[in-house]
Amino acid sequence: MNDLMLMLAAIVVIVLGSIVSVRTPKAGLYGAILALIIAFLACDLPQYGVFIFAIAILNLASLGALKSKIQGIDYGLVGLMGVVTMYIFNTADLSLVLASLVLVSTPTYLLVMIREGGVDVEVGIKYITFMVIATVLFLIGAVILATEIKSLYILGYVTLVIGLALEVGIAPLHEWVPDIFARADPVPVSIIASMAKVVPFVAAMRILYSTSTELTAVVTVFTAVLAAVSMFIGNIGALTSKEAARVLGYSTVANMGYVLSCMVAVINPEFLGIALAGGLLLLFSNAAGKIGFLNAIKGENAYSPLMYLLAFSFLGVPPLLGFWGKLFVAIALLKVGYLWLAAILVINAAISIPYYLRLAKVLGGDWHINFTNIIAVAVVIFVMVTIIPPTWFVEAIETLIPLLGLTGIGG
Amino acid sequence: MTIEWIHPGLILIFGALLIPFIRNRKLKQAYFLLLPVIALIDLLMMQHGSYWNVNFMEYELVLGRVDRLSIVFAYVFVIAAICMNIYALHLERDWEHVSAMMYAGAGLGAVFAGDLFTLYIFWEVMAWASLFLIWFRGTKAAHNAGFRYIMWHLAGGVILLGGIVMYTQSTGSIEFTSFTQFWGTGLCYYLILLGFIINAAVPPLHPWLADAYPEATVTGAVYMTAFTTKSAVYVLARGFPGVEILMWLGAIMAVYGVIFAMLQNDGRRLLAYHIVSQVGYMVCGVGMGIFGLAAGEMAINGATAHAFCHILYKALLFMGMGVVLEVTGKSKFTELGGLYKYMPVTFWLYMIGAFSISGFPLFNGFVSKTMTVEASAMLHEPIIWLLLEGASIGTFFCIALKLPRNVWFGGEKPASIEVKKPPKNMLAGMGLTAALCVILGVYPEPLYNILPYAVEFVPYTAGHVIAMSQLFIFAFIPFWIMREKFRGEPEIVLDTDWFVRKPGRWFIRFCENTLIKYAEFDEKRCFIFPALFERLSKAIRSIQTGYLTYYLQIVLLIVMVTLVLASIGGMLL
Repeated sequence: MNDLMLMLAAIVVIVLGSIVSVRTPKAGLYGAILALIIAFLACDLPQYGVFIFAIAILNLASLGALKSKIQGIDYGLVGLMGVVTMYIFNTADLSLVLASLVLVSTPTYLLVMIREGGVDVEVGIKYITFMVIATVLFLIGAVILATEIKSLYILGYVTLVIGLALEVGIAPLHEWVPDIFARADPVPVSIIASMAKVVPFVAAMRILYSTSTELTAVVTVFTAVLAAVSMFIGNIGALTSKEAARVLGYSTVANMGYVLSCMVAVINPEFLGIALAGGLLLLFSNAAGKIGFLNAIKGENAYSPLMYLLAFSFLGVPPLLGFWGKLFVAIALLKVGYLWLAAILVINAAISIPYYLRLAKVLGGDWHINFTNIIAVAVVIFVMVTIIPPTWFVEAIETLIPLLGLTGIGG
Repeated sequence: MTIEWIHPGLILIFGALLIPFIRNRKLKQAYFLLLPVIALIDLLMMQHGSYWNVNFMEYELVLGRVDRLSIVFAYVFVIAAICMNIYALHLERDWEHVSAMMYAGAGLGAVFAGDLFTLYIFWEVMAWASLFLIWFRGTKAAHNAGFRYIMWHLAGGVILLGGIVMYTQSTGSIEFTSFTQFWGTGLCYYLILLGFIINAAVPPLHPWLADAYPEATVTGAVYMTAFTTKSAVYVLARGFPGVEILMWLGAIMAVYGVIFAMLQNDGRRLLAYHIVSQVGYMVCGVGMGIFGLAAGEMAINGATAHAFCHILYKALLFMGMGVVLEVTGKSKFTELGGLYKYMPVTFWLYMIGAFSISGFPLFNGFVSKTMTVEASAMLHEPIIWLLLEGASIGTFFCIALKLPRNVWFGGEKPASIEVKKPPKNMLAGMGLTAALCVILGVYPEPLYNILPYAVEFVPYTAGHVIAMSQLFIFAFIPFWIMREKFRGEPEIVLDTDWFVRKPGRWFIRFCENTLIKYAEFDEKRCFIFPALFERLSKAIRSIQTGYLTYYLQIVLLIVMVTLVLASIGGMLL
């Protein structure tokens, strides 16, 4: 329980920072950073924690570009999401995993409404409506699965996956995504597109893995079809979209499709490690790319080579981060016998070439020393860390697989 | 409880953070001077040993490994910092002081690091702290050069970290010892060496140095001459002594730097290329430092002694050129000349540095450079010996003849430049450094006593002195005959950084023209069903009406249908 105490300490630090930040906004930032450091120390899997830590710091940094009314508290909210995301592998308790999902989801309700000097209620209503439905479905699905009644297994599985699809924006339940991306301020969107995506996937993966039965192989087809649909709708939708932010919205739909496809690996635990590692790397590369691009939309004068490098990471050009994610997921799909899904993944990577390049061209420009480029440089370094093949990450995740099962299931 | 050891690097790093909070200017200056002095006292009181061993996960970090090799570098870092702080005393930018001291402190941290993880941390701090010494110049060229500088070091850092991670995975240890016996047995050693030689500016990985140092602030460039490359020499001497490839790289470096220096028009860029050349002698010495051989021990001693002396005289040279830049605002040969009348003291102090770097007898370059050259003779490496001796001539040519002639002599002062009076502290800083150069040149025993191995080398033999003097006479005569040819040329000489700048532009052009054209072509003609794709895309986007009620209808319909199907399926199966 020592790590739980540390996590609680981190949350207390965030709360204190947020309270003080009403007077001095910087206190929220320092509180959030301190809490993240504490959480990192408590994180069981430092190889995973360091990525989350980096994404959280990037999110906190990009909030600096936004003059919001709740400046200070927004840092606390991001810090809370980061702390909870780092905690997700520490616990084996179903109720704590579900609590983590709620804790990551709720801060985004507030964040999505922030814009320069005010709040955008309409965006908030649209987003919150979807999120509430999503969370409720997810929880119901999890509870049904946890009862381990055989005749309800498929219903529980489908409910949980639909909840997940709504939560992260997987087609055909993605309607909120392009609208929110185009309408809300780019900075909170970049947080929703990065930090908020990790916990729902990991939680779903752990629940599906702990409750899998002999029916899983049958019902997994549902997940696979959903993933394929999401890839196509996301990529094709992005092809003719004009607004950069809307293109990124569709790109998120497609990327969530890639990540969802790694869920099929629950049918064969032997390859679950590489699938989970691939899915996480895809989430990290998606997070980095979204932070870089959305900040370029927010500020101006991003440096075009940096934008192209981000586009290349999305396209899966080796040795950038995005490449390894796709590679590991594709390997896992082949190993568990989903050849068709792997083929669709590769085809979709090809379809996405034009719009990512166009995006980089529209957003890129000459070199200037400015806030946007500092973030962009940081993000590019982030996607370039995998110049050294991230086999260490796969190995670290594989050590985790025996501990992935949850307690509190059955009965 | 007695404190057995205090980390001198941390004294500088944490001490520096207080500088901006001292309001009184006199007090601030005194404190700034005192910081390295305290670190020096700390060093003098130090015993050899291993201190501050910290357990981190399952590894043991060693923050203070004090032995004969590390202490020499630590001494010269701190002594150089004292001289440089005097030179920089007039500055009013507190944060420049802070970054300079953090840079020096991180250099000390890297030298005392007993494990690879600690080394890596200080390595990165060094890169970032020095970046600000470039950016504080405030010009656009400095911003761009700083950006390129940090990119080089980040790349080097990533490579080093990759090597360290692989090394730790394969051996289970993070101790930083000599890797020579394992050389060639794994990728990790190559990666670590590559990370090291980027910081040592070994061609073709040196462009960051010649690119960034001339763009740094006047005082910042002086600091930068000391720590990055010399800490790299230290880690090479620690990790890879006697690795043959270093001997060749070093000898080539020594000549390469000199050749490119001759082509330069900017005084500080010329000096920067000579850092490449001089570090070449040290890298070469490390490469010859085969364990157990007398010649190998002499080579390591030579590399260490040369690093010690080089820091002093190169700082002095940069200080001299820095004074010129400070008082005239110019550093290009084509814009300077005839300054002797206005700044004779600077000229003579500079010349002490020039004689030292050339290896004149009675100056400190002579007592250290000859050791490395002698080691190459003892190892029977005639090509290395020739390259090193040849580089000596070129060095004398550039620094003692070309630069002074173009800056202080060579006709009348151009009318466009105004000469201010140089600040006294700058001259004082130069004076102290120059005094050290001469003292060590005349009386090298204190230096010889602290070298890693026992020294049996006598620099002042008739043979050494006559050989050196001959070289200089034969260098001087052709220079005097062709002196008019050695004016600077106004254009920039691109070196291998061409490979970095040009491809940057090519990369953009490749993306913007080739790739995008391909993508458009791909989209319009090559996709199997272009019209279908377009229609599909429009259909997908047409769902986005923006009305929440409409969305909810879709979503609830999908959810209901799937759940009903799932329930039926669950009952059937």
